[in-house]
Parts: sequence; structure tokens; C-alpha cells
Amino acid sequence: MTLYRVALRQQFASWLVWSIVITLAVGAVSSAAPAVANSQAVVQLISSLPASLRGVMGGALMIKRPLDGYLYIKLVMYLPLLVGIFTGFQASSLFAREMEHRRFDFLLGLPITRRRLLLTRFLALVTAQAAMWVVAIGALMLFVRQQGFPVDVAGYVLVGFSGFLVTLVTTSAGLWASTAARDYAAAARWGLGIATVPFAYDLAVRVATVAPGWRYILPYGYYNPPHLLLTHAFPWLETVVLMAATVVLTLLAIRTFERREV
Amino acid sequence: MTTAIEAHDLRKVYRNGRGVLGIDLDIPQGEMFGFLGPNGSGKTTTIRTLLGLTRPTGGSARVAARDVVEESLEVRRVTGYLPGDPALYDHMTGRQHLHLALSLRGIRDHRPALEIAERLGVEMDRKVRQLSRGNRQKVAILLALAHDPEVLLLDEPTSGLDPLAQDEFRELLMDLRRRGRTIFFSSHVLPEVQALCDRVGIIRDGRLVAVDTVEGLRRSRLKDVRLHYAGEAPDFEAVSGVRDLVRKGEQVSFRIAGDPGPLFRLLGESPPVDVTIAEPSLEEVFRTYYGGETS
Repeated sequence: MTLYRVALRQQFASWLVWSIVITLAVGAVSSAAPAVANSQAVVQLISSLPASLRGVMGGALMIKRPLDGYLYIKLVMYLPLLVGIFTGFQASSLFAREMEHRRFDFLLGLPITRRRLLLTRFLALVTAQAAMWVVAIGALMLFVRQQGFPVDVAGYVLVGFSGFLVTLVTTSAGLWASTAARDYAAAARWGLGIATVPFAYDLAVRVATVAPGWRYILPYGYYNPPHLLLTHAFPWLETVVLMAATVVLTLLAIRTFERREV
Repeated sequence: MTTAIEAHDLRKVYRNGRGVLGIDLDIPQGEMFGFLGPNGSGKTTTIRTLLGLTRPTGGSARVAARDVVEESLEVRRVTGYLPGDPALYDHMTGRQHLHLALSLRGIRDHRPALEIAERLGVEMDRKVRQLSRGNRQKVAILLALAHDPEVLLLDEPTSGLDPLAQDEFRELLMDLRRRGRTIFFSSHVLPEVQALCDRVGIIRDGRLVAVDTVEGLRRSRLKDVRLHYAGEAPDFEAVSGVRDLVRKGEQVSFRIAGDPGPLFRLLGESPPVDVTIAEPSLEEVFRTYYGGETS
């Protein structure tokens, strides 16, 4: 059994539970969305649109107010939050709990560098996170299709990829918190904060009418499903920015972990 | 003879001022060295520093001719380590732990390790969460010995083991020593140290207060003296080094530490009818360093 498989296995139970939560949440919000509740009217509305606009967001939803638009009508917007809570918590517990209880001696007594240990666990968490995005986007497409609307597979795949990049930043920030926090409770608070505070900021910025530049301070600002669904353009800029942030945070985590007393 | 473990003024001082406050060690290859001290005296910190798990705040140390800071990875490659509180993965079996440890060490032949597992009676295919404390300890011992290390650093190795497993473990250690392996272990079980170790180090408040052979320690520290007088016994309390004096009728018993010359002079002046002078057990020696405080 390799270190990677051990790390992956440690994620499995939480991954499974949270995947079920996400699937239920996607289903619940899909069913409760006003557009879905009155699908006949939406079908008529969509039918009247030019063909190029049909299929945007699966064609299922429409905007009424800014807040609704954020939380319901752009249904996929809250997915990074849900996945981010999982990755933020999981990342923040990757090392903090074991350091607090001094449980690293078995692993660190083996000829393995801390860098390798950290990167292996990070990779396992990224794998779990990618799998969670597959579940989330898969569930979303399934629910949209079940409502009788066309599904824009390529568009949703791009949305999933874009969300994955956002939560990659959340994961690496949680990883850093895990190596730097005084104890597990502090790391868990950081993990939750890392997932939710930037989302709340993004929500506020999107609902309020402020200059668009404010959105791009934190990672959620780079997540723009309507644009991706409409254009199918690969998000190069977002990829570069979010990957760079991930690399920087991961390097910080490595540096902190290598200097930390365990 | 090659030195397997050496430390020069090795220090690891924590913010509260405790830790290891300057230790010098020179343990040749093939020696079994016992490390004694109560809880909090610095035993575990010393072992973790020797392994490179914690960074020393001063001094230097080498294990198997490798610097514990600069070559920590190499030190861990040639060392077997048993933590005082071995935290294993609850969801994994002993066999999976063994595979993980050996794969990280690049060892493909698992047969020697499986032979050790058989000798110790390790339950290899049950998850760690289902194992008793003693059986977890067996898994941890197996992981420390599995790669036939040059040097073994063992922190309370027999803790939680049943007597039969302890016997088998001691046999394993003796086999390893016969094959030239160096064994450094801390223990609270003084008879075990007395039976196994070539030399013993006693640590108190982060400092080594004695390093000697078990026999040397016993000789140099204390003697149990029992005297039988036909009449009144002289006053032994005035003799330098006498302690724990007990008088029972014509019997006098006490312990004496240090130079026995004054005692012999007094015995020459007032000879007893009968005299017994015995060396104390290691436990009694240990107590003299701690003034009754033991772990």
C-alpha cells in the first residue's frame, strides 16, 4: 500500500458523505428553483429565445432578483462553496490533528521527507476534490435533464473545471492553515473561514453594484459559469491566476511544515 | 570499534526551559544501551532528537556515522524507531502497515519481516482499531525491526506486552545484538534493563547523571549492609554516606554510598558478630539518583 493510497483512503468516508450532501443539495435546489417549479413557462420562454441562447445554464433557470440570481437561478454558483467546505475542512485537518496529538512519529520515523508527505496528502485530497466535482456536475446535469431541459455537457464540464480551480486554492489555503495552526480546533476554524468568508465576500460584491475589479481579489470571483456556458471558451486567465495562487500557498505550506516542531 | 551513536552537548530546550540540557553519549556498534529516567526527564526528546524528528537547539549528534540534522533522511533509513506512543492508522491492518513501511524503504522481500511477525505473534490481518494495546505494540515493534536496521531506537518497547511477548521480544533483541546491531532503549522496567543492557544511562531533568555498566553503577553507588552485634552496636549515623539506618535489637542495617573506608575503620574498632554486605538492585541504584522519585 503506497502513501498516496493511504492518504486517499483517509479521505474516502468524508468524501462519500459530502458527495451525498452535495447531490441532495443540487436536487433540492433544482426542484425548489422557481424556474423548475413552473417548467412549462420556462420551456415556452426558452423556446422563444434564439437557438444560440438555448441551453445556457441547461435552459432551466431565470433571474428574478440579484440574490436569487446568485443562489438559485445561477444554480451552479454555490457548488464551489459546498466543495470548498469539504476541501477546507479536510485540508485543515491533514496535519493539524496529528501534530496536536504527536501522531507523526510512525510516518516521520520512515525515510520520507516532510515535503513528500505533504505533497502526497495534498495530491490525494485534490483527487478527492476532483471526484467530488464530477459528482456535483454530474448530479446537476442529471437533475436538469430530468426536468426535461437540454444539457450543455461541454459547458458544464468547463464550469466544473473552473470550480475545481477555485477549490484548489481553498485546498492549498487549508493545507497551509493545517501546517501553521496552533492546534486542530484553530485549523478547523481556519478551514471553515477559508471556504466561507471569500464566498460571502463574492456574494456581497456580486449582489451589490460595485466595480467588477473587486471581484477578482478572492478566488470565487474567477468563477463565472454563465460566461463559460455561453461562450464555451477555456478560462485561460482564471487557470493561470488560480494555479499560481495554489502553487504559492502550497509552497508556503511546505516551508511551514518543514520548520514546524511535530 | 565503530561508534553507532554519539552526541556532544546535545541540547533541545523548549520554551518552558525543559527538554534535553546537554547530553554526551558515545555508544559503540553492537552495544545494548539502556536509558533510564522518570516521565518528563527527557528520554523521549533525546530519542526523537537522535532520529532527526526534532531539531536540536545546540550541540551535535551522529547516528550510524550520519549527522542527525544534515542527514536525517539517511539516519531514518538505517534506523528502526519505536515511538513511546505508537500511533498507527486505525483503518489499516498490520500487514498494510508493513507493506507501507517496507515500500517507503524500498524493500521488496518481506519474508524476514514476516518471520519476525510470526515470532512476536502479530495479528497481521486485523485492523489496528480492533487490536488490543499489546497487539498494537507488537505491530509497532515489527515496523521498527522489519528492515533489519543498523541502529534501533526504542522508547518503552515492552509497554503493554504480555510476559510471553516480552520474553520473545527480549530474545529478538539479543539476536540483533549478536548480529552487531546497536540498540538504544528507554525503559521503566529496571530488571529488564539490568538483564539486557551492557551499559545504562540515567537521565534527570534533561541531563545524564550517570553512564556506566549495570555492575559499575551498582558497585559505585550503594551497598546494603547488615550487621549483627552481640552487645550494643556503635553509632553508625555519624559515618559518612550512611543512610536508611534501622536498628532492631542487636541487628543494624543501613545503606552506604561512596567511600566505605570510614565504615571499615569503625567496624575495626567495634567488630560485629556477623556482617553481610550486598550490592543493591538497579532499581535501588536508580532511586538514589531520584531520592525516592521513580516513574
